[in-house]
Order: sequence, then structure tokens, then C-alpha cells
Amino acid sequence: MALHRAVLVLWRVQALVAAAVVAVPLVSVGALAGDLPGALRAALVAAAAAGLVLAVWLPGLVYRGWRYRLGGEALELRHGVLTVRRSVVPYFRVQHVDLEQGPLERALGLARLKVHTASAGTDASLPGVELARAEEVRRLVLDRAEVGDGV
Amino acid sequence: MSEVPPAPAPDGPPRPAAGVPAGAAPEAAPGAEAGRLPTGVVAPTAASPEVAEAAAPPAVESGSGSAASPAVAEPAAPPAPPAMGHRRRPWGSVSAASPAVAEPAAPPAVEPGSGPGARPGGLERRRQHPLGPLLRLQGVGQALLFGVVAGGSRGGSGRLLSLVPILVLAAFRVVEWAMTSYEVADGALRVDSGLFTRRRREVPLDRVQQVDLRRGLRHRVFGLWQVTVDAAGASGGEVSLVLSNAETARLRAALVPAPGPATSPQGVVTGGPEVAAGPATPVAVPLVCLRPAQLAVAGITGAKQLVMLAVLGSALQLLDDVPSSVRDAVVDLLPRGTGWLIVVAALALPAWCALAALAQLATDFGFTLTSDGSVLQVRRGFPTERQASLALERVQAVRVGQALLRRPLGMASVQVAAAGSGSSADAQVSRLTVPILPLGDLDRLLGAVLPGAAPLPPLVAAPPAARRRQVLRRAVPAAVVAGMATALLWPWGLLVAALVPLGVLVGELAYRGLGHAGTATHVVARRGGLGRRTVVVPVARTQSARVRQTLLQRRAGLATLSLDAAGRGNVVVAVDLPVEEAVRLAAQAATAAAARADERSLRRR
Repeated sequence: MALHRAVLVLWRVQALVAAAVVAVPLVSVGALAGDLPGALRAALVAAAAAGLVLAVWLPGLVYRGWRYRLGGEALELRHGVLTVRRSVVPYFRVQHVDLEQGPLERALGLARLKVHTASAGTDASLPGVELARAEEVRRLVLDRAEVGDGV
Repeated sequence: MSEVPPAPAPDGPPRPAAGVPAGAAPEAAPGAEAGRLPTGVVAPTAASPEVAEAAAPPAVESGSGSAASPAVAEPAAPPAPPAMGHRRRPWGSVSAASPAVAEPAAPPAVEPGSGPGARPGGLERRRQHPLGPLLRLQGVGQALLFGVVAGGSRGGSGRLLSLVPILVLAAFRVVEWAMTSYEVADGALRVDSGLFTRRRREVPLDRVQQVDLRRGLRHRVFGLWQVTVDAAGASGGEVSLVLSNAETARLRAALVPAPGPATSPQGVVTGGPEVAAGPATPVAVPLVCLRPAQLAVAGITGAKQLVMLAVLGSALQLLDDVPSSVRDAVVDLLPRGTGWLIVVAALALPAWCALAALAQLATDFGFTLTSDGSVLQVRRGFPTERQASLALERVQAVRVGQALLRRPLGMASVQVAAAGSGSSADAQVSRLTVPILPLGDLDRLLGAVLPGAAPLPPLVAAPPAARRRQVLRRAVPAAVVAGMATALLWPWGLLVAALVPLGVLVGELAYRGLGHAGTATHVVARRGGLGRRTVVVPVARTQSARVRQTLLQRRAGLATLSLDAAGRGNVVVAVDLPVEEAVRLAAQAATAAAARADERSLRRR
């Protein structure tokens, strides 16, 4: 399953803010410092522009790379652009599940789901799923974590 | 060696839920022990009602009350005197471990003990051994120094004055001792401490990963052990206590799961070495016993050599900082001539080896690893002796290391890793390490530690694409460095070009080191060019699995497989296997039916 499309908005906003933090000083230096050679000034503006373009473009790639699946016995994730990572987390190993929402995510109705096992190495977090869906996944994971052990 | 606490006596299942017949035995312990212990351990007297009230957590009280036989809770000990001078403590009261020994240590008002009767599988509340805090050396040096500095210049009265810091320190330690107590109750080890800020640390018994014992010379003299209990999960989850021999055996027996049902209550009555060594003790089979000669070989071929080389290297660098006038003066003092040089060179290597061997002997002298079917136990070291126990069902991975120098000798080192915790990065994983082992004995050890793992399956070599990758990832950076060096330092930089064939060679070796195998129960992965490391992980214990592919790996159809075992840093990695194979193994490890069964049995305990 793919993530919710609204996560694209979230990521782009975050990336644009980060890009702006870098780009604004660059451009203002280019504009204010009078005695810069023209080529350098152009390079500054180009760098800023490239940052903004990346901020819009990269989240799309990340989004397209994201897949998750609630398998019969395990939660399976696959994500990554250059480096592709896959995780398989059996439900019955799940110790606890965190559900997180930042302010922006609340506005978009999204949530982050983090699944923890007894190992610190486990990498299983699901960014940007619809809140209702995240709740559902959480319930599903925890229900199956309980199956058969009568604790 | 006779005073060494033996393997944990079959203390009945140490869980509070233990069956009555088995569990009843420890209950009898406090009373019965009184007459027996040679060291004059005074039995805690039975709790007078009001003291029992004062024992804060009602769980403790109800636990002891409901504990099967009221006959034990009450009468085993002599009737308690009315608790007259009895201060009430925030969390229950404390019975002194052994007042007889406490005498010389200027005991603070040792009140008549009143441990609430131990519940099944529990240990009543006790203090550490009184000498424990006083034997801690840290701080003593500073106090002495401070005293000497402060009082040194004032003649007679100054000499008296210089004792003050030591006395203050000792007073602190005594108060600390008086305020610290521990008990095993309600399925947990509880340690209360602190004078003004009372603190209770509670470690659930089923989270206890490893119990380590340690004693230096000074502990030996007084028959003490420093006991460290390591728990999984919580950060800084270690508990450290100094206890007498008998107490140590009792605590360990209560913490480490005993195999099978207790055969005879007799064996449980005391933790005294003589008794527990009796017939009721489970048979501990020695798995590895190392002779001094083997340990010397371990030291000479081991990783410590590299450390020493590094130390020597940095020492030589320091020489550069010495002013040249001083250096020349020293050099002038040295004997001249090649004859001396040869003598020094001829002596250096043997001396070096002897040092390494001695270091290894000190840490691992008399190394014995035993298993009684459910607990691994290591005993090693002189003059500081250490013992470690590790429940077999906690084992998360076994690592077999073959350092470069050991491969031609057919020797390996073996590390048994379990989930742990602790504040330092080193303590995140509990480990037992066998410093050296002939490869011929490996299967026997593996079979005992990870049933079903031995003999190791034949490893599948990595695909040819992996060879290219292993070689290129070493040769290309070497070539870049060589190129830069050549450009900057013509023509001497060309010498750096020698790095390139070296990179190719190491890459080729690294490729040959790669191998993996997956059976229904275990995954085995090997890597390393010069020294090799093989990891065996029981798939039933993996928490999750990951497959990672970098851009270059994707083009080559390769992947890196990580299996996450419980605890921090317990990740087992297989590099550059075919991606389909990695995904298959990951899925298998994560969903193994065996894993479910394992998990259930663990939770049920």
C-alpha cells in the first residue's frame, strides 16, 4: 500500500521551509552585496533555485518509493530512493506502537506510526498515513501481537 | 576455591507463581539457616505485626501472608521482641546480613531484623555485607591525599587531622550501607537505597539477563562477592551489591532460573557451598576448560596485540615532542653499536609476547565454561575472579572470531551474546567470551549453546557480482588517493599507487570471506578478509529483519541482510548476498513458526 497522498504536501512544506532557510540568505547576499561579480551572483541565485526545485521534486520520489503491507504474520515496509530498505516486523514481536502527530500533520489529518520491538535495530516507522488508517493499523498490529499468548 | 558459590541450587522456579511444594522450600530457609551458617549469619526474626504493617507495599505483606504455610511465616524464628527501638523505614525494614562480621566495621545501630517472611521463590529483605561499602576503593585515594595535604605540615595534631577525611568517607559509606537493602519478592528484585532521597529500583525477575560475580583480592580475604545484576530494557538497569558467599549463592539461585523442578527441598535450605554442592545440584557439564598454555596462545594471537601496537605507536609519536636537546642527551647515554641493537630487537618480541600472554592470563586464568542445561556459567580470572551466569534461552547470537594469527593455528574465539542493558555502550549487550577454542571443539560448544546449530551448515559463497563490488570498493578509493598523492607530490606520490594492488588483494580476500547459510532454525553469516567472523543467530529469536540495497548493490542484484535480535547492538549482518536470497531469509526469520513457539514459551514463564 502506498502512503496517503497528503503526505506529499507535508513533506514539500517541510522541504521548502528547509530550502528557504538556505536560499533566503543566499539570495539576499546576492542582492545586497554590490561588488560581487555577475557570475557569482548568478551562481548564488541558481543554487537557491535548485534548492527550491529539489524541495518540490524529492518528496515525490520518496513518496513513490514508499510501500507497506500488512501481511499475514508481519508488517512489511519498503522505502528509499537511492538506498532501498525493506523491513519485516512480525506482529508477535511488537512491544509497543507510537502514534505521533505534529501540528501540520494534524491539519492534514495524517499521523506517524512507529512500531517498536525488543531490538533497538528495528526500523519500522510509517510516516504519513491517514489518522483513521493509522489507528486501524495500530489496532491490527497490537491485536495480532496478542494472539495466542494469553497474557 | 572451596568457598566459591556453587551453581545455583535448584531453588524451585524462582517465580512467585511457583508451585507450593517447590516454593515452600525457600520459605523455610530463613529460619532453618540460623543454626547452619558457619559465618554466624543471624536469622531474621519474624515480623512483629506492627512492623509488618510498616512494610509499605501491601503486596509484600499480603504476599508473605498468603504464602502457603503460615507455619513458616511465623514460628520458624524465635519470637520477636516488641519492636521497641525500631525506627520505621519507608519501605519495610531490614535484617542485617551478618552482625558477627559487622562488629569490626563499626556497625550503625543494627536493629533486630524483621524481614517479612520470604514468599515462595523470594528472599527476605536484607542489607549488603557490612564490609562491602568499606571495601570500595574509589574515593579512598583522594581522601588520603586530601588528609595528607591538609594535615601534613602541622606535626602531631596534623597527623590526627589527616585522618578526618578518611573517617568522613567511612561514615558516608556506613550510612550508605545502612540505608541500602534488597529483597526478592513479587517476582522482582528490589533494591532500596538513599538517606534523604529514598530510591527503589525494581527489576522483574523475567527481565534479568545476566548475573555477574566479581571479587578482587580484598573481597577474597573477607569471603565476599560483588554481584551485578543486568536487566534488559531499562537504561542503566544494573544493580550492584556486595554480599557474602552464602548470600551470593542465595541471591543467584533466586535470580537465575533453576533447571527443572527442585528435586529435594534439602538442597535448597541454604545457599551454603557445602550443602548446595550436594546431590540436589543440577549436573553442570564443563563445555570449555582452558589451560594456561592455551590462554597464553590466546594472548599472543589476540586482538590485544593490536592495542599494544597502537600504544607503542603513540608512544613513539610522543618522542617527537621531546625537545631535541633532551633527546640527544638520552641517546648519548644509551649504549652504542649494532650489537646492542640486535640484543634489544631480539628481546623485544619475546617480551612483547610474554606481556600479552600475562595480560590474558590475568583476565582468564582457570577459564571454565559450564552448562547445566539451562544456564551457562563462566568462571575466570586471577587475582580478580569473575563469574557470570547467562540463561541459555536468552542467547541471541553466537559470534565466532578467527583473528588473522589464529587461523593457521586452527583456533577461534567464541562470543555468546544476550540482550542486556547498562549505561556504557559496552554493557548494552551481555556477553560471555571464550577467549580461545580449537576449531575441533566448536561444534560441541555450539550444540550446547544453541541446540540444533551444530554442525554448522556449509556456507554458500557470495555471487561473482559480490567479488567485483568488494574489490572495487577498496581499489577505487585507493586509486583516488594515489592519484591525488601523485598530483601533489610528484614523483614520490607514485609510491602511494602501491595502495591499489593492495586494495585489490584485500578486496579479493574479503570476497572469499563472505558466506552465508540459512537453515530452518538458524542463519549463519561469515565475513572478513584477514580475520574472519562468523555469526550464528537462531531465527526463533529475531525481532525483525531488514534488507538494504544501495544504488550500486541494486545494479549488482545484491543486498545486505540484517537480523535484529533483542537488545541494543545485537544486529547480525550478512553482506552482499543475492537480493532474492536476502528477502527470502528475512521473511523466513521474521515469520518462522518456531519463533512464535519460542515467544510464547518466553512469555508464559
